[in-house]
Amino acid sequence: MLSETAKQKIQELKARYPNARSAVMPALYVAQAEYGWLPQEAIDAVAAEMGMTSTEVGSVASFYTMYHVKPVGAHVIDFCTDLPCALAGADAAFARLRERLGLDAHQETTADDAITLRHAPCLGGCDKVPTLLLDNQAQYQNMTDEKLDALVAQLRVAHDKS
Amino acid sequence: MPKVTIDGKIIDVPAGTLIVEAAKPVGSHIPVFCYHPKMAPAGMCRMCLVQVGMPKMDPATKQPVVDENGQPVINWMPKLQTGCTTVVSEGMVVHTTTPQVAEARRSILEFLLTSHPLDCPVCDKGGECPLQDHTLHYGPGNTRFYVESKFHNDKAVPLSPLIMLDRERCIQCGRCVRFQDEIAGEPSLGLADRGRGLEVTTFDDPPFNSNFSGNTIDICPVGALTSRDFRFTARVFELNDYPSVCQQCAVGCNVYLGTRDNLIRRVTPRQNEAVNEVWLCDKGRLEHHYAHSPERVTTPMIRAESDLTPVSWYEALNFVANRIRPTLGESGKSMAGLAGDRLANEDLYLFQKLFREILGSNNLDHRFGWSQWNAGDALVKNFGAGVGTNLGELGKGVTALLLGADPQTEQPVLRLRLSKITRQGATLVVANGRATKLAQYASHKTIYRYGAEAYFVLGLVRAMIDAGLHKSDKANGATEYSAALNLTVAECAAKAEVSADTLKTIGETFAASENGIILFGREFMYAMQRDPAVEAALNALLILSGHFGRKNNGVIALYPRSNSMGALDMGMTPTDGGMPASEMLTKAKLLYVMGADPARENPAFKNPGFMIVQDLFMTATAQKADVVFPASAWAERDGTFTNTERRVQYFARALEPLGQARPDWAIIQELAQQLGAKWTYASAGDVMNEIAQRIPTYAKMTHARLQVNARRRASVQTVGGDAAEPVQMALGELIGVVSGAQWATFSETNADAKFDVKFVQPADSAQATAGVYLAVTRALLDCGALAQYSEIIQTRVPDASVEINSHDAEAWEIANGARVRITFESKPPRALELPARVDGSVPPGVVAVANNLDGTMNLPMGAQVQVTQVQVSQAIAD
Ligand code: SF4
Ligand code: SF4
Ligand code: FES
Repeated sequence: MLSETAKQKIQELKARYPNARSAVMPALYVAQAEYGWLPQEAIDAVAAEMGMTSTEVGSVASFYTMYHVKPVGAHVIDFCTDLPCALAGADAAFARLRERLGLDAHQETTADDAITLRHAPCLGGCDKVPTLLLDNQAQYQNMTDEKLDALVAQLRVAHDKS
Repeated sequence: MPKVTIDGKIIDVPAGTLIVEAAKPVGSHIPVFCYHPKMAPAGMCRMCLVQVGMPKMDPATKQPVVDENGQPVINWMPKLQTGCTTVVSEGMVVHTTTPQVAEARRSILEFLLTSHPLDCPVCDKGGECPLQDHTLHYGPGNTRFYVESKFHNDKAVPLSPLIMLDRERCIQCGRCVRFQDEIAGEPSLGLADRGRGLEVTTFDDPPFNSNFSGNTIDICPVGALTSRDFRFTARVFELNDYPSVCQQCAVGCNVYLGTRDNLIRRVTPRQNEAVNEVWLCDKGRLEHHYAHSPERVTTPMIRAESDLTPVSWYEALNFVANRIRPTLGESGKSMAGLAGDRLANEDLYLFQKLFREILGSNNLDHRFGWSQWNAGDALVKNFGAGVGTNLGELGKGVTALLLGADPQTEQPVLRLRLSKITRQGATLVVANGRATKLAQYASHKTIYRYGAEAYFVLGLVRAMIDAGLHKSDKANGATEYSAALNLTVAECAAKAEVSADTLKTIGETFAASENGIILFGREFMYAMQRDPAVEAALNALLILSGHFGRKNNGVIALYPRSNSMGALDMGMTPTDGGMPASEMLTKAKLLYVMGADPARENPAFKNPGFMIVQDLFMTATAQKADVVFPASAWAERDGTFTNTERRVQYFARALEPLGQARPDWAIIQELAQQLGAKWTYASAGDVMNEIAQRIPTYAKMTHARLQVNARRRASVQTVGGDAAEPVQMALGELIGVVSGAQWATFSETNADAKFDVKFVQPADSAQATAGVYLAVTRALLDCGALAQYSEIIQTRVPDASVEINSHDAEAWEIANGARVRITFESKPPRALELPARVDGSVPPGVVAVANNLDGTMNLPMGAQVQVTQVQVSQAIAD
């Protein structure tokens, strides 16, 4: 269930837009922050708060990759493997990272649910390759193997602590 | 009007016309997939690409530049344009047949087919599929993609009990999603994901639960959405599509009954722009199963000793005639006839003729559950919405006022059509004692106190008079009226518990509007029955506003069944001192019940001495009969129905009768002949000819005339040529077909007539002042007499519940889902035990129960119902 604070936040968001329905996207982020991803239950809860059908909310959620309609790890790495990055060796870096995380070709999330690694389309950092986006928030650039390993280690520590 | 040139032909079209539409009258065919004339363009499929040029303008003179031949020089747009989103403008030149356009079409089709399974031989759409047709006509003859490299996806995904989705076949045109959103107003289908992963889906529970879902099957341009009811029961080109009319409610949607081997395989919409456009509700689409039910009565029966025993028609008719004959010539006063209002005009006409002319009795009625509800009938007769009114086309200058109606459950397709009128510029006012679906589209919506309907309407009249907007030229007694109306708007508003401003705005808007239509529904009919002041007030509102006697003006009663209007027109009412249904059930000695089942709603109902029941099924009433006559289903014979807006419509015969069943009119004629009548009707058409002669409003309404535009569908299409109609439906190539004929009301045929207005003081009923009121509503999908035979409908029938306002629920400590006991006034007081549904559709002080569900069937309808106690009878188990 969505917490009362989250519900209230969604109501506040609705008030910010001339057309309350426009708040559906920030509202989905509120729900995602609470559930970690967007299970059907979260979609239904947002729909109820928004006064929309679950289908309307679900279609929005499934359109954007920054909403997780499948379960993800505690941290999500969106790793750019689009053309400029690929030319600069991103594919190899991606494969190496995947191996480091112990993932096989069909897996995106580590067994301990700590990290999810996904291919991403262009993140706009084509001159500082390889580049990745962490948790929909921070862009990391010029990610050498060492830097990647350090990042993963850091995320693991953070995850184990929590 | 812009002048445009399409394929060398010059045409004037209204500003705002899209190229696809402008091309139709000149005979240029622009293929489309995602475009549909009833929906906003989306530009999703690119099938409609055409070459578009604009005249080159001289910047100095602002005049078109002309070449040496005096022809305007055309600036061709560098790329092809989508005809479904581009609006024509003055001087525009469009080419739809150039090699460039042909190549674009070929490419789009090849592209679509890369991920299409091409399983046409096992696809229900095969034979009426725009993708097939376009490919044959415009597509490449071959593919450069091999099956191995094709995209594969889920083949049979149940989206709902009715609809099966094939994800491979979907071409992502979005028509289904847009229909649910724009037209049905129930956005329960969505597109999930994107790009190659784009999928039609629903996140709702229950999934894709819309009463209009079946329409998406018709408009899907491929076989992605198919009907689980029809799937694999016939190839569409094997079907015989007979023109018929839906028998499930008073909208009278036009349908095709698609039959094969004497079975109805599917029901699809038949276009009638004045009635259902191209839509149907799911109830109408699915209820036909009863016609083939093994439970049908197929032989006549008479009661020998204690059991009903099958006999021949001859014996059965003789049995009845022998029983009646001795009393003939005396008084028929002890005989009474009760007929259902789902029967055709021809049946009802002969039924009343039998009683009035052969049996000498006026004891006739068709409204048994409704006590003697003739309130409102005179309004319709005098001021029914003018001939030519098209409820789907109401726009600027029209105010439509809905009183105590819930079209979503009473007349679903009417709700669909009224939902769009505000977008067309009309003013829609929705007033009821509770929130309804249509209210979400209203320009003004208001919830009045149940029981204060008279005050509500009087408030509108007062507001109109106060603003000096009333017209007295067709009224007798207007001045006296306004003097007698001793209530201010504020007083009326206080009684009705609405704001005085709202009342004033609505009253003034309605009166000032160029055209005004009033639609009243079931709940308002209850109110009219309860208090004569309601009808008097409505009468005054109509007369003093002058909104009657012409197109887009007048009143429409949302009658309950497909031919309730016809039953009134045919004279199925107890005139000249005849007994109404409420009396005949106890006072008559001989009862003839045709297509009605009073015992179902009233288990105490008894055979009054001798009873003839004519029906399709062994109904609760039939089980108590002395004689049972098996009647044909509507699909087994032809006839006419008159819909809620007085449109008389013809339905054809689609099936051979089952067993020995006969059309109702034919049975009545045989009985009349046994009793000595010299009737010689050879067909329902003959009966209709007599109706046309004897009932003035039905003059000239012969079957031949009503059949114009109501013909069988040619089921085999010709590629690119005259497409058969199902293809046109899916392709969106619709022409404005209208059929049927509306009869003219008294005020239309008597332009100089004046009408009395009289003030009647509202009775201050208890509900208007205090207490909790039980609102009796309807569920659309029910376990009604005919619906029970459709399995798909039965999976979607809701459980009975009692709706309670959330504030009341809190005060009464009732949780959502808890079982509650409601005790209400009746003689003797009765109680109901149902789960509570706590939601926002009823206001405080009102509880609502639908009386057509399991366990609520015998709720009193329209009686004065005061709830005396609401209590939790059982807490919900967690
Ligand atoms: S299911 Fe049919 S109507 Fe819906 S998007 Fe796919 S092709 Fe279009
Ligand atoms: S709206 Fe009424 S007439 Fe039309 S399909 Fe539904 S039940 Fe039949
Ligand atoms: S883009 Fe015009 S019909 Fe689809």
